[in-house]
Parts: sequence; C-alpha cells; structure tokens
Amino acid sequence: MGDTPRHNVLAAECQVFCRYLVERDAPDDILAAYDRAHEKGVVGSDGTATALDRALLRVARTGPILARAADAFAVTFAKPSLLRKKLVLLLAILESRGSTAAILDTATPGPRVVEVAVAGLHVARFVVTLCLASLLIVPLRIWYRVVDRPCGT
Amino acid sequence: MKPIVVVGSGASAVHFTLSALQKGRDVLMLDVGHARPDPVMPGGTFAELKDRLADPVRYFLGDNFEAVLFPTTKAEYYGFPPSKTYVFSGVPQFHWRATGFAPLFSFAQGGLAEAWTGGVYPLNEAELAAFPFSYAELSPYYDLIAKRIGISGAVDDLARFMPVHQHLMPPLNLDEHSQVLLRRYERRRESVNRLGCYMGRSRVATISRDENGRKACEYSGRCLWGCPSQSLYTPAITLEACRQFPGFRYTSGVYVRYFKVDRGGRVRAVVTEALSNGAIEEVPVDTLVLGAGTFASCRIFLESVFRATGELVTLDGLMDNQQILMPFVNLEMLRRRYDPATYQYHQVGLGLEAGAADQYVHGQITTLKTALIHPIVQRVPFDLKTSLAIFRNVHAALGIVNINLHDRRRPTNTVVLEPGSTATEPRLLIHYQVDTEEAERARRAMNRIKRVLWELNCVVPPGMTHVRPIGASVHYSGLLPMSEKQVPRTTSKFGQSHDFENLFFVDGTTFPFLPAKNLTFTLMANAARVADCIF
Repeated sequence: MGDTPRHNVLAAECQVFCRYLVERDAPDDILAAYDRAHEKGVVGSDGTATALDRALLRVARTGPILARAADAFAVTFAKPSLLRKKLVLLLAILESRGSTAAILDTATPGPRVVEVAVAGLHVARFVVTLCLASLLIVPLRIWYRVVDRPCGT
Repeated sequence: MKPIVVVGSGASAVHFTLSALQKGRDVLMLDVGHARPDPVMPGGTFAELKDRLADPVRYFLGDNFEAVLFPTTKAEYYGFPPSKTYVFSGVPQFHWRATGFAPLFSFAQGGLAEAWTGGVYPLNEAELAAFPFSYAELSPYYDLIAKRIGISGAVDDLARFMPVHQHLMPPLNLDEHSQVLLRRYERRRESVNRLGCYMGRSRVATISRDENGRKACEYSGRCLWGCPSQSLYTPAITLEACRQFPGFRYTSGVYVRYFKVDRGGRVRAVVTEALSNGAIEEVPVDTLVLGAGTFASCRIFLESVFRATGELVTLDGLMDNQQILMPFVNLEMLRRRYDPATYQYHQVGLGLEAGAADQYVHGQITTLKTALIHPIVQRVPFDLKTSLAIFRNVHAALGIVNINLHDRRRPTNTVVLEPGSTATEPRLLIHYQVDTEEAERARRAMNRIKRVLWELNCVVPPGMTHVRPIGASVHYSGLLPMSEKQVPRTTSKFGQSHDFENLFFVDGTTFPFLPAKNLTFTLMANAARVADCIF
C-alpha cells in the first residue's frame, strides 16, 4: 500500500474492520487487497458518500465494538450503504485465505440446546447493539446533513 | 469429398464432429474459440489453494473483484468464478437486446458447457413425443455419449423418469449432507412418494474410475472453480479427441458472419471475419453444420436470409427452462463441520410427477460446501459478526434445490435480426413472454418441494426462494424446430434445413419441446445421431 493520507485511512479502516470480523490484525496481503479493491472503485469512495454513509463510517472506524454497532444499524436501515459494501468486500477477501477462512467458518460442535442458547444471546446482543447504535448514528447523520462535511480524506 | 464445415465447438458441435470423423469424413471447424486458461496448481486441493497460492484473493475473487456480490446487486446465490470468465467473454461483432429474457452467450472452446454442473438425464418416450423420432432411435446415442464422456450414477427411484443407458459408472462418493438426505428419504420414502416425488442419485458427467486417459474424481473440492483433472467432462475434452484425426482442421479466432447461397438455394460459402485483424474471408462450403448454440446459429441463419433476400425473418418458439432456487436448512446437519474434500456439485436428484408425463418437474440438490459464503452471510438480517456466528454452525446444513420446469414453443417468444448499417453491426432482438400458467406451475412445484423437504427434516427460510430470470438456465431451443412437414423455418428430423438443403443444425435450435431435464446430454446424443444417420 502507498503512504498517502487516503491509503493511511484505508489501512486504518481495514485494521479496525478486520479486528471486528476475525479479532485479528490485518496482515499485509489483506491490506493490499483491500486497498487494491478501492483503487479499482469496487465499493465507491468517501467522496461519493451520503450523509448517512459518512456517519456510519465515522462511527465504524472508531474501533471494532463501534464497527459492530454501525454494522447493526446499516444492515437494518441501510443495506446498500458504503459501510456494508466495505465490510462485505473485506469478508470476501478474508474467506479467500486459508487462515482467516478457518476463523470465519469453522463450526463448534456441541449440544443443540447450547447452540440455540448461544444464538439467542447473539441475537439479543444484536438488538441491544442496534439500539445503542441508533442513539449514536441518527444525530451524527443529521449533523453531516446540516454541516455537509466530508469525513476522512 | 469436401470437408463438412462445422460452426462452433460446444457440446453439440464436437459430438457431431467426432462421429463424422469416425465415419471417415473430413471436418473443418470454424470457431471464435476463447481458450481456457491453464489450471492453477493442478494437483492441489481446495484447501491448498487458499493456503498456498501466492494471491488467493485474486484467484477466488478476480482481478477486478468481480466475484464479490455486494448488497446492492440483485444477483443470484452463486455466480461463475473468475476462472470461468473466459466462457462468457463476448466478441465485438455480436450485439443483442432482450426483453423478458436474460441470455448468456459463450464463444469459448467447448461452449457454455465449459461452465456446466454436469447433470446428464436422458429424455424418456413421453418427453420425446413432440419430436419426430422415438426414444428407440435416440437411445443408442445416449449409450454412445455415455461411453465417450463418462457418466456416473445409480439405478434407483429416479429411473422411473430416466431411462437407464449403458456405460453407467458407479456413483461418486457422497458428501455427508447428501448421505443424510438420502438416508432420510429411505426412511420417509412412502410419505415423499405420496407427494408424487421420487429421489435418487444425480447422474453426472464426472467419472468415478479412470477412463480413456482421464483420472477419476479425486475429491479435491475444486469443482466450482474448475475441475483441474478433467474428471468432470467438458466438451473441450472431445474437441481434443477430434484433433487426433488427420481429417480434422480447427480454425479458431474467426467469427462466422453469414453464409452465401447460390441460385439453386444451396449454401456455397460462409463469410468469416478474423478477430485479430478484421480480415474477411469466404470459405467454400459443400455441407454446412451449425452447432454454435441456438442464438448464434439462428443469428447466422437470419443474417444470411436477410442478405440473400432482403427479408427480415422472425423466428418464434424460443424456449428456456424456468428455474427456481430454493435454499434450505437440514436440521440434522446443524453444528457439523463440512468437508471440503468432497464432490461439490449436485449429488441428489428429485423428480415430481405433475400431471402429464411431459410436465415432469426436475430438481437437483446441491449441498453447500466450498462456495463463497459472503453472498449468503450478508443476507442474514444481523450484523456480520452475529451472522457469522450463526452461519458457521449452519453452513454444513445448507443446501439448495435447483428446480426446472418444462417449456413449450409459443409464438410470443421470438428472435429477429435488426440489420446493421455501414456504421453499426446487426443486432439480435430477443423477446420472451412468460406463459400465463407458468406462475401457477411454479407455485405448485415450490409448495410440493417444500413439503418434501419438510419430510426430509429440512426447512426453507422464508423469503429466500428465488425465481431466476428466464434465460438463466441456458437451455435455449426451439427456433427452427424439427418437423415432419417440409415447411420453411423448420428442419427435418435430422436437423436438415427445409430452407437450404445442405444446411444442418445440430444444437438446440431444432428441439420442438423443452422438457424439464437438463438438455446437454440430449443435445450431444442428437448431434451424434445426425452425424451417424446422414453422413
């Protein structure tokens, strides 16, 4: 990856999103692939982002926990958002590599009642996260709409 | 004797050609012929590709990340991998516009079947009732093709819908999910059969033992990404067999524009354009065989007629199978780990009796293993972390039923040529209107299959069944149908044009009816039949 402000923002973003999805730092080849995809315009850019896109990215880039919160908001209210596209892109990159694919996609055998309970906890966490995310993102979206300030570089 | 000139190198063209060569005829094959790239890491398994390739992201997602399905794309559950992009690469000269139809075209060596999933199902007597020949006339050619390409499968409950041909190899090893499905079917057979549904092993053009220099399936798990060992048959294998004959000449990199006719109404030459430099050449013809696929063959016919007579002919009766994708979750497979070192395409088939025997509904069940997961995970209505936590314990339980319905020739479904000018190329205009009863047929089929799946301990997630656009099945046929009557815009039972006596069609152009079963086996058998009976 290059060393321009744009590349630095993308690299930092990729690291946060990678920690969100697989709880690992992104190695160089992941960073390079992520950057290459943005160079090719595969997901669009911050320059074409809507106010909601900017709000979501601003929150998501803060760290893995808020990335999850922003993702919860986006999947519920803004499926075509730039954030969702970036996360799906990174997911596709991660599943193409052996080590990260194994993290994403290895089942944890066990009693079904445990699985149902764990799934229920995940869904409950999603609901709570979504509520908290809404408290953050809705005001921020209004802020970006009013002020119309681009975020990042 | 002059060589037979064959246009195209797909499933129909290569089997016609091989049969003609075996009878001592010379053949000149003209083809655009985009070549397949060499297989990457030929001896490696699917897991090894992800671990050992220098750039697995580029391999699985493409140079331009074209294999990534984003939330905004109204795409299918699965697409074609980057390694098969060459199959669908076009040519600058071929233009088209379609309404009500989403066609795919191929100008690759081997044609569209270079990206097929290998399902091979012979038609039965009822399905051939609209054809001017019987099952008995076609049967020897199913045997011949089975011997040539290698077909594995079993004689089971599906044999009530599919005649059993010779040279059937033992079936491939089943993956765990497919085993679970068939075991459950054994236990619930009576209930499932009461729904008019019968299940069994898919018949697939993948060899289960070494044959003719090809290695048996090694279960590398790479099927979706391109079989590296030629265990899964593709027509390029038969093209290579044709090249062993001294009487065969293969000219690729040429686009056949049209044919010229003499005053007697016989084809006397084809006009070709070299893709490299645009050079136009006339190739003399004694006998012309079009096997370029229904649309490409008909485009040549339409442009030729227009140039010869000034008439813009409309061909009607275009057919394609309506296909429905029905994902399901097998409750018995939850929290299991899938094994990537298994055969990846469909291993279980099902058939629905639906009134008249020719209205049979065909289904193939593919259990999900090594396909990309991001298209599915993003559809789960939670954040990706939550979706992944759920998905990884559901992955091995996922499957998809690909449901095929039959089609009939109807006058509303047409192809016509929009002629070009000095500045523009001619354009093929395709129009398709869905039958008013199609939606009801599809609804009934879906409801029955949901009930079948329930008997198999499988649930269909609401809202995820997807009716594919017409054109997606790529089983195009019917525009110049076989007819016992010698009328224009039809052919004889041997594909001989009733408009031009030395012109033959050996692809789906001539089929008067499109059953629900995958068409390719019958295309190959029919093409071999034409070569054997006429030449």
